[in-house]
Amino acid sequence: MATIATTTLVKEYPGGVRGVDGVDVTIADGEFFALLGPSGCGKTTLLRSIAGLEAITEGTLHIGEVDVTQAEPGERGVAMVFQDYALFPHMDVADNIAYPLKIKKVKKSERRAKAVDVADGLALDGLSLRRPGQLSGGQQQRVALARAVATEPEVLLLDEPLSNLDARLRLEARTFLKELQRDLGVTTVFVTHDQAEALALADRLAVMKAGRLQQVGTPQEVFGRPANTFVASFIGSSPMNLVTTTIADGAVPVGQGTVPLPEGLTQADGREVIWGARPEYLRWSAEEVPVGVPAEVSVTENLGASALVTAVSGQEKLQLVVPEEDAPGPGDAGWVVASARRSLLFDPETTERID
Amino acid sequence: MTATSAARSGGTTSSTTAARTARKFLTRILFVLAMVVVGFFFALPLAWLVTAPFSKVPTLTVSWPDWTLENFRVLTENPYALTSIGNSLILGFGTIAVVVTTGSLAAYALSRVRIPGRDGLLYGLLLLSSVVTGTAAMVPLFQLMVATGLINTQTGVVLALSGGVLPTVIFILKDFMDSIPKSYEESARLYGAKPHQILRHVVVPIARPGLAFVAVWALVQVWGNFLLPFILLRSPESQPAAVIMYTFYTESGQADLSLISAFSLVFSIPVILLYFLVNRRYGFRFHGGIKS
Repeated sequence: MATIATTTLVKEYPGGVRGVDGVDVTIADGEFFALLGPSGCGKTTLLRSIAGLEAITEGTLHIGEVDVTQAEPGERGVAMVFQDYALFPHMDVADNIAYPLKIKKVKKSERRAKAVDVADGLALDGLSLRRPGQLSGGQQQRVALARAVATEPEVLLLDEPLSNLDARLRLEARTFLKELQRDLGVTTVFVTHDQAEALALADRLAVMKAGRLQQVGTPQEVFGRPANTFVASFIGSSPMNLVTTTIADGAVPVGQGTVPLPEGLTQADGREVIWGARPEYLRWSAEEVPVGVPAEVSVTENLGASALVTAVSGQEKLQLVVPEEDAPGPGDAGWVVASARRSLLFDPETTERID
Repeated sequence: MTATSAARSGGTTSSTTAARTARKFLTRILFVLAMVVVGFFFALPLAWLVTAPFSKVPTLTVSWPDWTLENFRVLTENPYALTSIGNSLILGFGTIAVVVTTGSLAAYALSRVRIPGRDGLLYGLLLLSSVVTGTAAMVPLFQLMVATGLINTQTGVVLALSGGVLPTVIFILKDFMDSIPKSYEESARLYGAKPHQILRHVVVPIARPGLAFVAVWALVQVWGNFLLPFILLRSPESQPAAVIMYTFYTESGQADLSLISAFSLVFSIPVILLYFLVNRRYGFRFHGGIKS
């Protein structure tokens, strides 16, 4: 078990493209850490740099107390599960799981026994003689995990661990992964482009864009207090409402109404800001309220136990999540109410959150 | 005509489909007939190969044999016939050994390492490969062999033949190697496998159908090659079957058909055997070692 620490880590490709551009991050011992971002943001490159599959151009990487910036992949004590699982098609399950032990020159009988042992622990009993091609997607993933775990690594890396599974299996595998990680207590870094997956699994997560870290924090922090407008719109199943406006009379005008200033913030009148609030934190009121945004419902989308309502006020479109029994229909008029505790302001120049 | 009038009177669909089936049937018959003619054309030499060796007096025509083994007895008495098959096997398997080891290493490197102009290099090699064993290169090749002291040795012929087939082998194997996902190797690397271990444990087993195909293909190339061993091997004891067959004449200078027919049959057996062996084990596939 070990911490992972990077200092101004840079991975530059020939031609000057920076896949990872000056990343400083410390991942605590035993932590379940997510790297989240849209495709091409450098999250996989960062993971591969930690694994040693990409040579680091600048900066340092420490695993535990050891500087492994230049170390060979096999010497870092890391195990990785690839997106396509990378199970060897010509070996059976037990040989696949035992392959790392074969490299370590463990005796054949001993490593087969260990493989079967690990496989049983991952609900793969009775499958040890099958070939990977004869397994379901979920089973293949567990074999890949078993192979990674069998080496008792200090760091476990997972590249898009759930993306090759169908929707139903994904939920199952998510719970399974979280349990496994907690049982093993191994420092785990996983890459995903799915914000829901990251929020659900990770102890802490890092949001990346264009090779740079945008925000590092717990799921609550990243969801509730995004550091900038990019994180705000990337995290959440429906993106945060972001309205560019100018402060007036100590309140924030939005559309044809006003919303209160976020709690603890005082802003001078006339300052331009981006006001942001999550759809989940906005309320719908059919009766007039003292501070609210009068709006008309244009679309209602059913989300099961709740509904995503799109309401128009002047030029602005606001989205809010309303419990199913209170959901207004299209054409209904009412007021969108924001809470001071659950709304944020961003600087329109830097897009950073204003504190 | 009947079809159209019937169509007007009401039974539209049934009569037009009847006409269509009739036309389909006719084209089918014509097609089968054409195939029979083509098939016959190709089957005739093969029929000769199977029947002539068992005839008392083989001719160039196909006839029902007398099922005698006399021709084979004559063949065993020929001083060079059976050793020449052995020589062919030495040349064949020698070339396979050279070509499969060097070819797979080269193909792996070319598949994994990006070098500028790689594809151009490959196509260039492919084009030049016909020159190496081609007639035009015979004089320089002969001089080269004399200069290096490899003239009249099996080693020399194996090297020259390998040079001829290697580019195609590399080309085919590179395709197989390309189809092996990089993540397999990266995964092995993460567990501390050295490059030679990755090659042995992962790449070669997965590329095995490709290696098998290339081996059979190389054998076929070598087995039927006449010119190269004919020129580079001077003594009849070391010449392979394809060359020895050329010496089967009667005293009167006629081609000795009883020897040639029996020898042809024996000559074809090893290649057919290897084909079936490999086909049974791997099945012939031109593309990829992995079912995705």
